[in-house]
Amino acid sequence: MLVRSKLLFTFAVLLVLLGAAAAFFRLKRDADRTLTAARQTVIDRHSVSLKSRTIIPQGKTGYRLFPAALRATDGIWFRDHLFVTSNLGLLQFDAAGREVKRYTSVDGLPGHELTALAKTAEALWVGAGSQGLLKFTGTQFELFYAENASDFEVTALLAMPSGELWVGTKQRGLVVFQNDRAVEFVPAIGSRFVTALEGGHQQAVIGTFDESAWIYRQGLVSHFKKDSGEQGSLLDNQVTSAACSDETVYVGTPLGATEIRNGRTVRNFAEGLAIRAIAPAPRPVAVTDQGIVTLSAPQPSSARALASGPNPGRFGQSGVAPAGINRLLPLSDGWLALTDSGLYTTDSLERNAWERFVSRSSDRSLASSGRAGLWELSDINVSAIAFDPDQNLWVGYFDRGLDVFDPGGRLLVHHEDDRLFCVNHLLVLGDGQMAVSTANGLAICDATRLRHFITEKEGLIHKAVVMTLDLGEDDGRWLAATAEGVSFFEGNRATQNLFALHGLASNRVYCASKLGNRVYIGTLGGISVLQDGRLTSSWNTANSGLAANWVNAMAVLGRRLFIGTYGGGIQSVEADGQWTDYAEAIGRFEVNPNAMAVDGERLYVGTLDRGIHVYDERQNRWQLLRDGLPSQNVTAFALAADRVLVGTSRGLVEIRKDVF
Amino acid sequence: MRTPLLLFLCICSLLAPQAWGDAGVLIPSPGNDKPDPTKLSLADMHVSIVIDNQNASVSLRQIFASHMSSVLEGQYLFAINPEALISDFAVWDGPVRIPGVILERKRAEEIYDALRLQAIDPGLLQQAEQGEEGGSRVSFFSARITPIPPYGTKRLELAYSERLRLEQLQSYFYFPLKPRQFQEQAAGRLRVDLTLRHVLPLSNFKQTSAQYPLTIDRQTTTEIRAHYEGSNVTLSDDFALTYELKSPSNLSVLFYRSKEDRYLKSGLPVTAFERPGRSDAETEAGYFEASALFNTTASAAAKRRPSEFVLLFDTSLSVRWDKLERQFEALEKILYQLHAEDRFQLLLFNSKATLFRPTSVPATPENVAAALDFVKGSFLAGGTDLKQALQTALDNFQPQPGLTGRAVLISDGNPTFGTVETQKLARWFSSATATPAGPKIKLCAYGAGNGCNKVLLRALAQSSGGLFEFVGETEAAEFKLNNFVAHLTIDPLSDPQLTISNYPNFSEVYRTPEGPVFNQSSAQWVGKYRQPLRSVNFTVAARQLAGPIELKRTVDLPSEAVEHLFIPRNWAKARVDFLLRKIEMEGEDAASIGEIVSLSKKYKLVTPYTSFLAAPRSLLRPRLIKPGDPVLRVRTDPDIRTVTAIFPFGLTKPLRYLPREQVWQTRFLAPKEMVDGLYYCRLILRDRVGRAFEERKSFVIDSRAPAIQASVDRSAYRPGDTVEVRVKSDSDTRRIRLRLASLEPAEARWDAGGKASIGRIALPMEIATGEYALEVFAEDFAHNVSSRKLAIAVVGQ
Repeated sequence: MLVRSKLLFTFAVLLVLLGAAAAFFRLKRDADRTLTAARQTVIDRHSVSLKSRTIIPQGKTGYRLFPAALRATDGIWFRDHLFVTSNLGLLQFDAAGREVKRYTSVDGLPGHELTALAKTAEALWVGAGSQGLLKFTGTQFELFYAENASDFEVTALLAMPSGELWVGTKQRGLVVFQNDRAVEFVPAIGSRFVTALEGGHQQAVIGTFDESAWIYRQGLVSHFKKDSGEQGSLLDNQVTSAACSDETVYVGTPLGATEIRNGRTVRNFAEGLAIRAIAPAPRPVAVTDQGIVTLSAPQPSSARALASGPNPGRFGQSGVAPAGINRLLPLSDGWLALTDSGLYTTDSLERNAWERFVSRSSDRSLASSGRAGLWELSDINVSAIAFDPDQNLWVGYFDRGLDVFDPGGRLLVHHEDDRLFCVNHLLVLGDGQMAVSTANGLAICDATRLRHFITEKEGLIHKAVVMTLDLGEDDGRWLAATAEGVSFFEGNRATQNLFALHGLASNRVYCASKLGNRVYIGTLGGISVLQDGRLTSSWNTANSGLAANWVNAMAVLGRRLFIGTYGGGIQSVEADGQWTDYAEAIGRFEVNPNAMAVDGERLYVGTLDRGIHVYDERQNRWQLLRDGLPSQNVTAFALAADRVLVGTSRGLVEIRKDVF
Repeated sequence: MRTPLLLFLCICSLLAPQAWGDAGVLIPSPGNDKPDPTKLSLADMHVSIVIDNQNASVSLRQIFASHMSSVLEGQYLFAINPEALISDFAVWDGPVRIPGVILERKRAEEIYDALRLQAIDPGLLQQAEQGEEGGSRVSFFSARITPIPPYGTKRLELAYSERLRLEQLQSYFYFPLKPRQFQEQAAGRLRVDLTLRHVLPLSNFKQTSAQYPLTIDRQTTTEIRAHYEGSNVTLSDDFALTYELKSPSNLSVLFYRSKEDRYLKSGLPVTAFERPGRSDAETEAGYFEASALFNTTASAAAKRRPSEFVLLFDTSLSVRWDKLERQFEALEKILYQLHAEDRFQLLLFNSKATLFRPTSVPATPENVAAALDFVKGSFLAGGTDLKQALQTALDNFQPQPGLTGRAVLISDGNPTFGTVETQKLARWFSSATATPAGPKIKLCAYGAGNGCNKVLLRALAQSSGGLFEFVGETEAAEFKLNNFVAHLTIDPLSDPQLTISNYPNFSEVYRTPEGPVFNQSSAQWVGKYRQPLRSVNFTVAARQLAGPIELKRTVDLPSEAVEHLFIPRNWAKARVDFLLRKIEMEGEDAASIGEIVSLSKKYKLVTPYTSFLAAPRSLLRPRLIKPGDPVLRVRTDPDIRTVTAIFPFGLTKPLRYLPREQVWQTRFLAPKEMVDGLYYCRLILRDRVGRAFEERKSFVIDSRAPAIQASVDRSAYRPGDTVEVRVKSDSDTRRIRLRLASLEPAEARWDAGGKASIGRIALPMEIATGEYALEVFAEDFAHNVSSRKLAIAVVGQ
């Protein structure tokens, strides 16, 4: 009996102990999980998870990128080659100055928004703006990006001597790249907009858009601002450029440059001048909007001008300092300037004799003659494209006027003046002339000449013309959609104007389309329907299938009117009033103004940040096209027999239709 | 436009904003485009109002306190009634008071330019300039205030005067405190002192808002002194009051004459900072103001006669946007006020004239609704052929027997086709309407919005014995519009005349303001007299339907009278107006311009030839931002060679100079992450010698029309009931209108107690039973419009 009792007792004790142990471990597990979750939350707050994908550069079949005037922004020597970021992609030059390779969106790059360069032992690093960070090993790229693009929008790069890669971002401040993660460097600089990163063995400078500069030195971070502090002050809180040597930091702002030594500001240079770039060695020089200045010691209060450039404009031949210098790189025998109009070299800043740095060996003759090549666009920010009846290609730019190319690619004319420069839309009128809608009025042109320029004086209700629409009537009537209503024209004569008082859903008119005997006018407040010269009704989110009131584009495909909205994606409506919302298939997004085109059975829709949506009516299928585009911001289309021209905010690309 | 956000029109210019600025707002910079009490709060505000025989003099003193550790700048905004005359503005810089001065316009601009080159931005108030969008600089004052010391205060003073009208024996005064553009301000301490006095008995004095309840300190039959004092006062409504003059017809004469050194010759008090006149200076002439109040029971009792109207409505391009809406409002008001026995014809005109119907129609609700639809169905087009429109009206105007004929012109009076000269047009109209029995047609003209050709409209109205009314952009139109409409069917008194015995002792006597005088209103004359005299007879004679009216007063002309300080300035204003009209009709001449400049300097008047140069103000004024156009436009002086814009999202862009428009322009793309709100961009300007200036400009992202929540007090009504609508909408809503079937629209106004906007529509007795849709329209300052419908039922008695 006794033994049994003891056994029972022991068993009971063991049970209790087991239970306690189980409870303990459960508690510990829960606590660990909570701790881990909390730690992860903290980590997530101070770091960004990154994904990656490999890009093997090879040209996409069926794509052709239009060339444009070169605008070089940054450059770096990597494995005996000069790599240059530009509006045309990443350019690679050999030591002799020959362009040996050009990496573009057609080769697989995520776009042409290339913001920074750095190199480490194993790779060349390229900031790709909102697309993330590219690592180039010499044969292929690897793209690192965040789930939420704004968490890893790369604006600056700095490869530290330790091998660390510092990444400046637009919204997350300074982070340290760690392959699958980018970790916040220090909370004080977290959530800042980093504009400049420079550094070396002894110190580094982090410049920001509106919070001045931090200097990292001997393990400490000091903040230098515009307002006077103990260590001195900068000339402005916006840092445009920086340079760093072991002893000295130079911080450039829109109002001059400041020299900082041993943690204190020492003097200012070039006060009142906008500093575009600073090169610290072999001797410190700064590129300003008034020319290149040396930041010399003997006269600390004034910068000695070395070379003053002409007013910004087209660059001439050698002997004149180039305008729009974005970066100065020292060469063994001089300097290389990366400018808004290409690459230039000089053997002496004092001598101020510059030569164009030859970009392609095959273009040597073009370079010396100064003549642009075929199809060379004046700018990459394309806002409108159209073919005229002679198959000349018209390309309108956001703020650089327009180009007209003949079918062979020869530039017929470049229109740009103080009226015709902000182009919104192009339309071929019944008489073959081109109606060019601009922010300053309506231009009527033929291939080479401006024939009329219509503003309020000529009856336009407002000079900011968004687009025009041919009403297809015998009397040649057409309408102009403006920022303050709609104007109707017969020929070049304004006849009537429509306004909110007359029933327009809003005075802000963005687009118009015609289906049957009705004209649909897309506005900020919905769609107004015009029939027999009168506004009969208005559609908005409250009384129709519209998902957003802001209507940016419309196009007719078959018997349906397709409507592109800002934020609501795409809907369509038929004559019988049947609405269809395509959100389930393609989601909600922003359609760009008048970025819609119809070609037979296909609808092309340009979006703000997700490339092109293509709808095939026969297959009732949507397709998303993102690859190969120089920018995901697709602004315009022009359709030829076998190809589609796609205008974006960073270039023009031609895509063969069989690609779709 | 290829933009992620097509929302902004950032037009930064020297033009007055389209928005309605609040009264005495100081916006801190950098970093703000609206008042921010966490940075700059209104610590103290004192408003002193003296209404002396219908002449209001307002002095405003504001003290702003900085809560920042750095030196601030600020932009001071004040919206003035276009009829008001600013008389002083000063900024205190520590113990130093910096007053404004009146200078010749060119000289003012030269000094202004020079000060700006020194990076001191002076304030400049100028009159009546046409802006890009049809706006005008008149009635808006802004000044950049700098420096505002850290944790310090800034004291600002402003003074203006205005003449209050008397209509139907009632006068209305308001001081703008209600927010129109920005959110509500609060004053740490607010004091309002009011002195109201009149030679005639005052009655029925009341405030229109309960926000600032006055304490009556003293009240007699002819004077009221009151004050309001409060702490932490939310400025959510205007300070406004009405009063009546209960008196039979009366003629009163007031005087001003001073030989004392302590008064400037202009009649303005000398401050410690102005040098008094010499004691042996030649004595100035004396000034008088005669005021005749007409209140005859015969006129008041006269029955309204049926009338026939021809309504000319301007549909040219120059009256687009706000002007068109105000014009339409006036047309609605007129049509809805017509009686069933009235008739009307509607004529729309621009470069052509279009009749609503071949002949006039009875003013039934159906015809009124059809006429309004006719207007809405028309298009704005082309220019303005005013002569053709008037001729068409004359050709088609055949009032039926027994009906009084009237023409009403609703236009900005800016002809661009046909006869365009004011003088020629006025003369033509006068001769075209002349008959032996008097003008064939009485034309009443209503102009709305700045940029109106008031001279022409007034001339057309006066030549035919009609009346003219003008409502500026910053005014509440209701009072004037109601009076205009009320007077359409009443004959004014015939042109009142003033005669004075011993007339050679008097000079430069003017009736001011000119225009028809109705029963239960008043007419004023101002003039000068040379010598004091005893027993001078003043006589005012006029005629009305019931017979002649004659008012007499015998007075002694004093050698000294200093009680009514407003009289000399009123006289100077009348003299300047006379000279300006002369210039308009006959062309400029050196003598007239010289006298205008001289009077303006002496009496601190802003005219087309003089400017008020005040404390520093911004080089670039903001204006109301409209969505839909990402264009930045900046106007600078000719010395600026480059302008660069730095946007808050990181973009730096140079602006391009447009020589044809003399403006700098660029376009920009803003990221879609920028939510609705106010933003700043920096502008770096560089002049020809390389000096850099920095400015800040604001733009608004406003992609949404106001969200509306609306409700009615019940769902079913009976004829004769009032439908009360309660509306809540976004804080940037500037206007809420209610429409129900063909009834006159109503406005919903903010009710602070109910924290909503309340509007009421009275259902007429004859409304048919049934279901109706009540529409609520809300418009924000960016002119986004949204609407909501409410279903209501009208059931039988």
